[in-house]
Amino acid sequence: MTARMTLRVNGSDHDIAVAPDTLLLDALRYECGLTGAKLGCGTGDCGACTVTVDGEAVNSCLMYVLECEGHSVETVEGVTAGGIGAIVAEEFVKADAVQCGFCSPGIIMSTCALLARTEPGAATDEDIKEALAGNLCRCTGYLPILDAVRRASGAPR
Amino acid sequence: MSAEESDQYLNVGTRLIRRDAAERLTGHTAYTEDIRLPGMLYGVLVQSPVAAGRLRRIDVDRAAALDGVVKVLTAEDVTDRRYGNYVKDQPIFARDRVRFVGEPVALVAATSLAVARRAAGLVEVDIEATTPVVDLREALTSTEVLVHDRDTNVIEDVHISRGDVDAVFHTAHAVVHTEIESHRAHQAYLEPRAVTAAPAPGGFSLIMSTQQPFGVRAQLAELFDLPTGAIEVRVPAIGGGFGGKLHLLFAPQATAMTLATGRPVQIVCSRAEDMATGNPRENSIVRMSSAVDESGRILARRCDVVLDAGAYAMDTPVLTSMAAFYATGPYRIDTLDIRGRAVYTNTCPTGSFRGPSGPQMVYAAEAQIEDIAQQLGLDPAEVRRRNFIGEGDRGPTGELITLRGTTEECMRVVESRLQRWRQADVAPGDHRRRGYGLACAWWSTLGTPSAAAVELHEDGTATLSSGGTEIGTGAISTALPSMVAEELGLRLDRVILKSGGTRDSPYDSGSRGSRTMFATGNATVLAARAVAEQIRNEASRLLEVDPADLVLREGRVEVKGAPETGMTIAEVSASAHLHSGPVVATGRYRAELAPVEGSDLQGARFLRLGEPTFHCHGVEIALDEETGRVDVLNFVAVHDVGRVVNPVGARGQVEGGVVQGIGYALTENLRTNDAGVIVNGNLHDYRLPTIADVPPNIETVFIETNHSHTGPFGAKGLGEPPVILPAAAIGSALRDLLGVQPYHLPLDADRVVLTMAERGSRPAPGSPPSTARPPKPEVGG
Ligand code: FES
Ligand code: FES
Repeated sequence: MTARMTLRVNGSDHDIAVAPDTLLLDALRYECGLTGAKLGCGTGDCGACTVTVDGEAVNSCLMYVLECEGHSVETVEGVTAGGIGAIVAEEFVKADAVQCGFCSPGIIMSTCALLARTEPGAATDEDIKEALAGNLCRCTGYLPILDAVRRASGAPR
Repeated sequence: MSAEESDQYLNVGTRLIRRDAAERLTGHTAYTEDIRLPGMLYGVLVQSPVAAGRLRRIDVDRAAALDGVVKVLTAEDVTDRRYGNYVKDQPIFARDRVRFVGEPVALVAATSLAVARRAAGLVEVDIEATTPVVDLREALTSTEVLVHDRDTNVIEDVHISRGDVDAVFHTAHAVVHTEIESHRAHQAYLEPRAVTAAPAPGGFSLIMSTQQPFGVRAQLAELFDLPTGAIEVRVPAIGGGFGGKLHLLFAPQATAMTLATGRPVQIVCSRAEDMATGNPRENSIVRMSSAVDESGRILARRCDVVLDAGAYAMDTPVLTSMAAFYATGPYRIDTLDIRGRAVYTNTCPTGSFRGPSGPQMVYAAEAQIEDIAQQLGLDPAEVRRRNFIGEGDRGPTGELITLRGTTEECMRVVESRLQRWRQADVAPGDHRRRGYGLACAWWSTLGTPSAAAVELHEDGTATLSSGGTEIGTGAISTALPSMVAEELGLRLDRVILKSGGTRDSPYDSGSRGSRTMFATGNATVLAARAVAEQIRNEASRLLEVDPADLVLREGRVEVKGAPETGMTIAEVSASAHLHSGPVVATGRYRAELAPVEGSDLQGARFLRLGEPTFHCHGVEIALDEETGRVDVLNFVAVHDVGRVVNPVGARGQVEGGVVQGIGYALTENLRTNDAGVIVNGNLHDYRLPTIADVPPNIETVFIETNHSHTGPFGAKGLGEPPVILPAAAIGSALRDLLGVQPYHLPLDADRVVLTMAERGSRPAPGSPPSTARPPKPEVGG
């Protein structure tokens, strides 16, 4: 019952075989070999699986991969390779906003989606909290994350 | 190891950036589930749907017949040996009886996860349900409904006594009684528990998200009757643990399947499985009475702590001792009668959670202080000050405290913040009432065994091999190499770390008990010092000076006072390799324990606490009286943990711990219904703090004037303390606001509304002290 599809991830096309109920998260992790997005809950409650589809942050554990045909998916591996994503990652390192790191890829993705829709320096703390409210972090207590996102938001792009 | 030598460190005490951060942030770090071995099978558990019952029959035929299913295992197929950290009571699969909802009954292995899941649903389990005992009080006294084949549900009974409590209670000015009931909280690490077992020559290997690979290896060796060395436990990155990953988890089941099939088997818990079978912080009942004089000095204390172990003991037995030891709080009480008990119930087994037994014991001890102050009409801070424990005093079991107590200094900082917050303006339109509270505590750093190896290579770079487990704090990845660099006078980037399991490094007793920086650190420093000595000896030969006159700094071995005379460490190391042998040493460490005195200890799992640390937290809260909702507006956390090796990482431990502590206090509550079913075992209904809930500012302050005499560079442990105080501080702030504080945790909106409603029936602040004899604080049996 598998179908072949083309999944565009981080700018490259992956020709993969998937079942109708294959989740985007599983396709990324096991068909494309991109294990940056994590499975934390599978129910849309933790944000560890966050990736962007056409720039929008989504929980990839709730989305069927077939819905993504013809769309462009970005994962943490892609966005942190350069541009604003690399700046975000750098600010997270500097702010000590990563401990166990299991939440980090999802938080980076939610941050990138926020920064893509706001002008440099324009994101308020409220905007940041709203954008990241769906991303749980059990280790850091969030303050360094908030700090890192503020700084990344202010950085020239 | 003394701290006095020098305060001029190159690395220790500086802002160290996590060496493994970038890799984690970009998604390139592998966690257990990310590693798929060739030919690997996927394991899915079949779990008991009822809390108690007799297993009549398990029919695996339909499941086994499914295409892709390789094997189904039940109790029939595995050894009848039991496992457990302290009491061996847990079977690999339920045998004859089931004891909690979620208990593993069978394991299906298939070539795909989807097939394994489908097959697990086809396993027919016929259980004759029996009456469970779910309630802690009922389990404590019941002789009818017994979780195990024993004549009581009490599995642990610890007594600490010093002096004649009765006599002091009779003659004291007043006796004050406080009773606290606490709830369950789940560690809720972001990475669900995961393990992969694989065959290996003569044994097997595991890839596992565990905080304690050597403990896992030892227990599995016993369970499967194999030599310890035939088992390898490899630990890739761990997505948080907080005590929840200290146990065997599903390693026995995965191992049994690997041994049965000869193939790698991975078990990754779903979040629901994780929360239904994990080992949350136990619910408990704490009853505490103190005899006091007019000034509020505590002359004697009686305390009875009852912990809910759930269906299997896991590490609750040792936590029972810990709870008993922490019944004094950071106060000197010379006459004591403390009892700790743990009780089986037909619920998910409980176990360690960062600062085990801490939050409820601190809550009880601090509520007791506030009750004393209220009854005597005294200032609670003053009552604390009059009782703080310190150097020269005796701890709970009569052990001599050899370290200066600094709780008072910590509290002074907190008091200054509370005063400032009280004076600050409230935003116009904000009608919520403000409350200000604080809590004090001490905690101890576990000094359990560790070994480490340091090798200096021919090029002057070094490798540190540590069996320590990087749980996410940076202690292993960053702080330990910085200690080696410090001892060898190297730049941090010249020290390579090898860690992550049992194969490449000597023993370490795990990432727990705030011990890594301290105990694993001590082993590391000892190894590094032995290497430094080898280098000095070699250089002494080459330079013809006394080794004692040589120092290692900035990559060189130099003569003290004449830095121009010297050689590079690389030159000396290369020379040593040729002339005296490779430059390598092992350090081994186990904290020495001072003798206990004048106390009678029965059933305790240890004799005294480890090296003490001192703490005070302060909080400003806003209470919405309509809804009972409490918001934390400001928070200050002051800790004396000796020297801070890495200020950045230390701050992260405090902030993360405080937020976990606030979650425990206000929103987290893992609820089990009367049938023993966890009703909110998911991240939607189990409410963790989000970025929108945290206070805008958590101020972290370290009192660094009180270095440890025994820790590396004067450091003590920090991982756990930050989580144990916030609930007590918030309770104190509620009392500030309402005149009473809740005696039930959590302090969620319902509880606060109830407390407000009950307020009228409680004695007003400053009412005359009761001199009546208190009831003996016994909870049932
Ligand atoms: S794994 Fe998708 S939201 Fe948690
Ligand atoms: S760093 Fe561990 S969950 Fe965020």
